[in-house]
Amino acid sequence: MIIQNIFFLVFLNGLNEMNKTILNVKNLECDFLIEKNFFKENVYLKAINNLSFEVRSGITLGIVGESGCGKSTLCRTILSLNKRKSGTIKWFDKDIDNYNTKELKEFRKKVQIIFQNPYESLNPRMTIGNIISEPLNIFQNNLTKKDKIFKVIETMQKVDLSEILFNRFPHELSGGQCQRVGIARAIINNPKMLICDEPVSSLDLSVQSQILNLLNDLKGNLNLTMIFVSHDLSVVKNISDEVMVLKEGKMIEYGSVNNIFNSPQDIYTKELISSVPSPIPV
Amino acid sequence: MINTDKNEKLIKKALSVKGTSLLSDAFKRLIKNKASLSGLVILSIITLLSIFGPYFLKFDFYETDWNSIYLPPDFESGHYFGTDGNGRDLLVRILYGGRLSLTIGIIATLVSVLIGVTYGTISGFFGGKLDITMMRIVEILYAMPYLIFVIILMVIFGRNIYLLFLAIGAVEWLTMARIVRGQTISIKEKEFIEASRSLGQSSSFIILKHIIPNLAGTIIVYITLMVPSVIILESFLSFLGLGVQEPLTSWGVLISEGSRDMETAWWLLIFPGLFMVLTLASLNFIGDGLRDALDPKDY
Amino acid sequence: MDTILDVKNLIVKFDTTQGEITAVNNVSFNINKGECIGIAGESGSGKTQTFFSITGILSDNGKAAGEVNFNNLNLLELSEAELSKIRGKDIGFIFQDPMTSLTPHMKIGDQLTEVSIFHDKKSKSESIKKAKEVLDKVRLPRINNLITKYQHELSGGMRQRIMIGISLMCNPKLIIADEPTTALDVTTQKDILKIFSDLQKENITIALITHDIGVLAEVSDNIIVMNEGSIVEKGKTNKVLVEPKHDYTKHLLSCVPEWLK
Repeated sequence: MIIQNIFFLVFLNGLNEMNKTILNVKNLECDFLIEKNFFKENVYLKAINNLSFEVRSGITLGIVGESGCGKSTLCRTILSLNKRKSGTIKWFDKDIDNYNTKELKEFRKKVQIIFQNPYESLNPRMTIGNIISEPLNIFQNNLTKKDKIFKVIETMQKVDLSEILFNRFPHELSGGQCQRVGIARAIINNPKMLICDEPVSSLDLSVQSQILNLLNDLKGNLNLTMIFVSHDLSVVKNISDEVMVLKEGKMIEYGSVNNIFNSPQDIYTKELISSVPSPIPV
Repeated sequence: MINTDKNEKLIKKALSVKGTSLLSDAFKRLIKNKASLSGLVILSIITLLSIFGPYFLKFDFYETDWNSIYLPPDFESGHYFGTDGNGRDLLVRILYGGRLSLTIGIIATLVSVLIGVTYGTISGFFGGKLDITMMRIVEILYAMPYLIFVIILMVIFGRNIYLLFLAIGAVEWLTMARIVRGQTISIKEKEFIEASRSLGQSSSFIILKHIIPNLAGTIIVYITLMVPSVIILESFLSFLGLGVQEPLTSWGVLISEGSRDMETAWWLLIFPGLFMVLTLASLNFIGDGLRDALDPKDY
Repeated sequence: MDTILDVKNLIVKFDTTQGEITAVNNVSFNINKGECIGIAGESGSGKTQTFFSITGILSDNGKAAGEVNFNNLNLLELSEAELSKIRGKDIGFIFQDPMTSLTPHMKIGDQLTEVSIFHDKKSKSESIKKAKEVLDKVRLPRINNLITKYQHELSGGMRQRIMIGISLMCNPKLIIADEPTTALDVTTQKDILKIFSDLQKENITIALITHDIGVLAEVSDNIIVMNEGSIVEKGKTNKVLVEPKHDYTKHLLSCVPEWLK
């Protein structure tokens, strides 16, 4: 009876988690200095212009836009790798500006990023094992060496990487394998949220679908919430629950995948969708 | 849970396969390059000779043989390279001089690399106002004539061989710092640095683990080009009388003495000069080969 | 139809530290005048190296064997000097990355006129006239000062149009486009593909190398599918894509998301 109750409570808790907003971005603005003038006013480029959105737990938010629309800037700003001009970013109802060092560390552990270029995002002088264990050295340094190695191997298996690659270097791996290493590094500490910045756009089509499937599986297994950024509409449609269309730093349209792709409201969204070439010849 | 047999086996299997790092790959290519391979061989022969050679010769570098002054190369008496005006054996003096020149070359280079890399990475990584200030300081130091700098040091602290290491190192690090700063700025834009930052990694760790290993190629190439310039600088200072003191000697001192007696005793100039030229040439060949080997685009 | 390019038993090999690697293995095909032929394949399939060897721009450690007939000449037997007369004049080349294929310190106008002054020995004013004509063809707005701009002042799509323009300056017979739209946005890609179909109407032959089957379906008449250095399937585009025969082609098509079909 008690056990049943506990299960019920856990279940309820899970339900609560499901619809809870975990990331809340409000009136975000980002500027880049493009021309520094001594006498006149400096010229800024508005990379993100008054952007507000929420990410609920367990969903995948796809962000689409063409190059220069500010999608990469947005990723880096959420992770506070960039400075922002104004606006608030709340993680679990707490403004990340107000974090102390310990809380910031916890935030970094919980929010991870996967980059576009699989080779560039791995240090060429480090072995695969060392690359994946870097987060362990920061957040779980109390583990013994053996435990760390085992944890790395375990994570490598989760992303379908053979353990014999442990002592290899990035230049000996294919692009798809390198991207898996990047994913392994991101998930080794069981993050809550994964930000994917064009994770498949430099990969071959067949590798792309493998990586997308892997991300989808991981999302289910690890209870992840994802922000998936891409210029490729077909990829976004494939993986997301909700879609946001960005143009010149502004939100053009926001809605569920079906709404956006089946009945787009804005002209720009319509143009984007109609521009994707179909493989069936006319 | 981790110490089960199956897991042990897994770990063993994972660690059994070794990869080839970029540096070991580059070394393989370096060995294939004939010019740099012969440079490596010649350099190691000269180094080994300088270290162990004197023990196998019957003369000491300060020992005067009054019966053989200005003796040309002569196999019977055991003075294979002849003797100088004080009747000292030239071969043993060249080998001793080699010890000193090579030591200065290596230590002064290491000093400058140490200062230059630290200074350059900090300046490049943190950027902003710190970078501007640090680089202006380097420029000011550049503008100072180093000879005056060395002379002032010598005058204040007296002639001291360790001071010579320091003085040369203190001059040479400026270029190193500039090169390292430029490289750091380009590396820090890479995504793996950003990945590390997003993990909340500390700046010092990023510099040590991510930036400096990726500078290794540039630094190694630069070292092989810097050692010759340091040896020449030492020779130049010794030539002016600011360097090594008698009866100790270096290649620079030997050459400067030899040039005085050039007309009567040719061997006093030719042999030390030969050793120095061989060393510098092989270092340059190695540097050249390294640059090719470390640049994967070129092969 | 006339054959413009006839490739017979082409083999391309590379000398690397790991030994000799065969990038293209015994490939034969021909391109007819005025058609747009698509070459599909994933990275490492040898599709780019095939066309690099045809125009003699293989890297130093590569060598090509076989026969490539263009204008009654075997291109593989020509000297570097003879080849450079054909390259850029009769055969135009468009690369993947428009960001790096233009020279940063030269004005757009100078880069356009350079080829026609070199190949056709035209005067400067004639070349500029031609350049303006070409810019119309690639649908760049006729701004007078466009030719006095530098590449960094233009967007990626505009740069790729300039690249196409440069390849058009000497009235080429064949244009080889290596992944011309991969680095571009979808809306820009659509514009570039429109330019290609315009060019085809002017009887210019286009060889379009890409991994994107959607792009091929849109513009190409015939299609060649390459995998691991050999041709696995070739034929009319609407035949190959609708009823693929080879397993690899089927595999490629299965990777395309459902909703696009």
